[in-house]
Amino acid sequence: MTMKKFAAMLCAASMTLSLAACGGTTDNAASDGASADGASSGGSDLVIGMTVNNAGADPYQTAYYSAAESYAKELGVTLKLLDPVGDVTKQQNQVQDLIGMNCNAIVLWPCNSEAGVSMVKQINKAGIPVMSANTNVDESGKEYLECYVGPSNVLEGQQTAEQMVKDIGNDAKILYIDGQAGYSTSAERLEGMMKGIEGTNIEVLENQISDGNREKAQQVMENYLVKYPAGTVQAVYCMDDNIAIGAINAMEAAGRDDILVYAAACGDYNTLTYIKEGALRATAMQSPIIDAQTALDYAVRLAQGEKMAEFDNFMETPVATADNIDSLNIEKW
Amino acid sequence: MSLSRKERTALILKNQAIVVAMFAVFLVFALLSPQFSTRDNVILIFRQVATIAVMGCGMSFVIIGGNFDLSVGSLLSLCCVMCISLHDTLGPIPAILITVVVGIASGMVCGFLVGYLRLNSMIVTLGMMNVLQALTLMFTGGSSVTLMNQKVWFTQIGKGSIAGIPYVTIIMIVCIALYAILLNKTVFGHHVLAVGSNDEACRYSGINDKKVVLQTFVLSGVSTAVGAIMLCSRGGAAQNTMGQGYEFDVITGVILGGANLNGGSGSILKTLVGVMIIGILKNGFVIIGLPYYLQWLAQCLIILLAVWISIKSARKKALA
Amino acid sequence: MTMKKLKAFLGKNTVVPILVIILLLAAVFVPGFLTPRNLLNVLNQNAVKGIMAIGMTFVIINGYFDMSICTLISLTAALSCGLQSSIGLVPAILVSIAVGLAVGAINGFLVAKAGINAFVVTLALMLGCRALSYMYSGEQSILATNDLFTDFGMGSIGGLSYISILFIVMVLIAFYVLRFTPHGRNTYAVGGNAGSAFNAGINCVKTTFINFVICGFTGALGGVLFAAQSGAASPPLGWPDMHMLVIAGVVLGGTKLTGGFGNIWYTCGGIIILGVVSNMMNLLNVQTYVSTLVTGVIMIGVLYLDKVLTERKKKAALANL
Repeated sequence: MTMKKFAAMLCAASMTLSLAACGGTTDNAASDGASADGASSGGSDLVIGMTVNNAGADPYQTAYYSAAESYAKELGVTLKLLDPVGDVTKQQNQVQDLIGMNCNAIVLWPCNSEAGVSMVKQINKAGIPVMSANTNVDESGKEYLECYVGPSNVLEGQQTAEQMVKDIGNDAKILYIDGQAGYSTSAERLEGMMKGIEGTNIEVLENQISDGNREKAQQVMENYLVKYPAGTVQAVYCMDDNIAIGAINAMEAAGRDDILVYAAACGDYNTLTYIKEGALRATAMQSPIIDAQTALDYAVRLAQGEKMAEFDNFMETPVATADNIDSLNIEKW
Repeated sequence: MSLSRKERTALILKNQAIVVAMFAVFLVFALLSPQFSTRDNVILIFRQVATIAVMGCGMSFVIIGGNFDLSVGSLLSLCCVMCISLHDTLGPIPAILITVVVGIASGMVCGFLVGYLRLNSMIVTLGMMNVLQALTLMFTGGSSVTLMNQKVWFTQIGKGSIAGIPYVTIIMIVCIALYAILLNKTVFGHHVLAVGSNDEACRYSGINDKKVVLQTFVLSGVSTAVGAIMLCSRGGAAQNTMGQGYEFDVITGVILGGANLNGGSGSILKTLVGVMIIGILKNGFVIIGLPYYLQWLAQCLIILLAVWISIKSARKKALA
Repeated sequence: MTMKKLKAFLGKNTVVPILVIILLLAAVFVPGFLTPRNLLNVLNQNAVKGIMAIGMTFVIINGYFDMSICTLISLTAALSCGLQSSIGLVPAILVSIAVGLAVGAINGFLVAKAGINAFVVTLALMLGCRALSYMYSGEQSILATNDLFTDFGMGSIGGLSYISILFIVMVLIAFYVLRFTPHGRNTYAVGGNAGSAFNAGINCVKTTFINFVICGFTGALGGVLFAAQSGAASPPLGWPDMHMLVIAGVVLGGTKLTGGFGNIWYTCGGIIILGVVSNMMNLLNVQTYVSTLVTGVIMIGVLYLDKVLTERKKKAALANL
């Protein structure tokens, strides 16, 4: 009986403590922000709200998250950076929370382009300037947005596909491994690839999703390899580099090297070794640091009341191959 | 013994419905595609199901003991990222040992909360799922981890094979044999069955039911750790979300294997059959070129059909 | 005397002290939590989950639970968005609801009539709905084209969203049904002890069937409302653990998974506990893993506190005898 009482008290106490600990962290963060404020002159007391897609899911988004955090300190603005872990409904809630925090500008990296429309509508209604970053919201939400900053997924897909056509010629058969169903980046890169192979006789034989998971991509590729013996297909085109490495692993395990691997875009610095080896033939390099910093720069300008001349502000995403990777001078992230 | 041949086949069909279903599914795919029944593909299926099968064995014990473990998916992620990142800092053997210890520790926490404090296993393991996800993120800081050198022997666990049979398949078969013996031939196995069927009664008969429940969760944790080692060594890398959704594949496999979800009965070998069905469907739909999402529909129908048949036969038996 | 009554009330309704503790903690430690706007936010954010939890409460009091709503919501969300341009908004919503009722009816039939374990049945239907949702949407997100639909999803009166109002109305209806109708009483009886309920002449099969249909209805409605709220339907919506969050909400409120005990107010409390925790974490702007960790710890902690408080009440009752 007393034992139980004690345990219950302990339980309640630990819950209190864990909450108190959270409280502590923000206090520190707030005071950090304040001190940075004093040091810099430009930022003054601007509050930028930001909700990203899924910071823990892949290295790109993790690097983006921390780059945004540290760059905000550099600029001396208060950044309310939230992570909905890829969950649309959670992001919806976070947008409402951000509106409640009285931000001067909000940056939205929508988990889902279509669902992003209602979010930007809501923010716009609340009178806060909003921009999309990295992933744009659907066409119909454009009127509520100030601008978009990030990569052009269509262009990335197209450029890589054009490089692929150079390698495999006009009459070839290829396989496709997709990211996640319903994720607009996937759809846009696929659209870009189709543009890139337009006018050729290249045939896309398969299209399976991998949930953006390397292990699942490997399984999908293993199944492809059984279905298509050597000589029947020339290339596999993947939604991103992480999936491509899964495909490369599967080929290695099966002892096959007859299929060339391409990734629409690359967001992981470690992938560079695969490009140098030639295992990954070509991919569009997309640096999360540049992506995050440009987004914040634009957000600060919006927060200061500036209007953007251009809606689309694409970052540079050069196509890297084994031949040109050294000359691109890619900064480590 | 005195049954006619017709009666005997009918009996086998009823008792072994799920085995028959597995062969039927296999046969359908084999008829539709010549590549499906090749030796390479069959080995591939065995390679792909290894992790789920080993996790399924552990889960069978938990379910036979009358509980659920929803935390295995997150535990799988945690074990994978720990194993890979410790491999480069501490060496392969310590990494493997620590991974197993993590599995045991997580199982003990769940087992303590469910067995000793008598909390509902579904909600407890759901809470644990959150806790383990958080620990994974904390450990990696959000980035994925990769082995510095992909040519070390550790990656051979997942990639290598002996006489054409992958190591992971051998590990899987050994695990299944061990777990089957543990369930059917040991005192502990009988205790698990007794606790699952009626834990009130076995408390009076002197079985320490709290401890037995704890042990089933520890078994589930250990098998998840073993599964994680096989999974991450295959790719030589691990992501935070690697194990997401695995718990459903594992539980579906156990259910297909016919374990009683109220506890008290089940078979390790049939769990393997259940898991094999999932593996065959996953592989088969790609090979014959149908959309992957149809595999879920097929799983749905097979589960309902298998359970329906077993219930029908049980009712007939009761009437007779 | 009143003190004793209060104690008895708290012992029986363990969700009340737990909720008070969490609200107090939030008010003390989280700046900006105790503003009317934020409190309304918490309600608005969790209204859809709450609506799904209403149906789940019926099923859980009945002694079962329903996992199929996990993917049922993505199916009905896709249907309501996809069909509104071709057959009109109201028919699209009606079709979605009909699909939910059908799924509930299949669940109910297989559990109540065929006697198959509820976990197995609803897991199977969860897989089935997932397949249908991907099939219908062609693996793409579908945009809601009708402005009326999204206006309803996002609109509010005085800070209280339309969906919240719908939630409150549905809670009142559910309260009435559970408390004052024969069906409500039968639900408690069947969940408490199906054998004696049967002996007392209650149609157990019918009661269970109806409750699963109610759960299918609220699940389908939840999907439609998610779509209205976000203006779109994406195939992975709800996967992999929406149903578990709903079940956790119901159980954290104090309704017992063994059946026969609980009420709709507990469910509201449980959903609000989860909602407040997630809102606090957002306001505190902590790292994701901290908020995941705290959510997990609180789930287990609340379950344990509920257990201890209930046992104390039982012991006290025994001592009084």
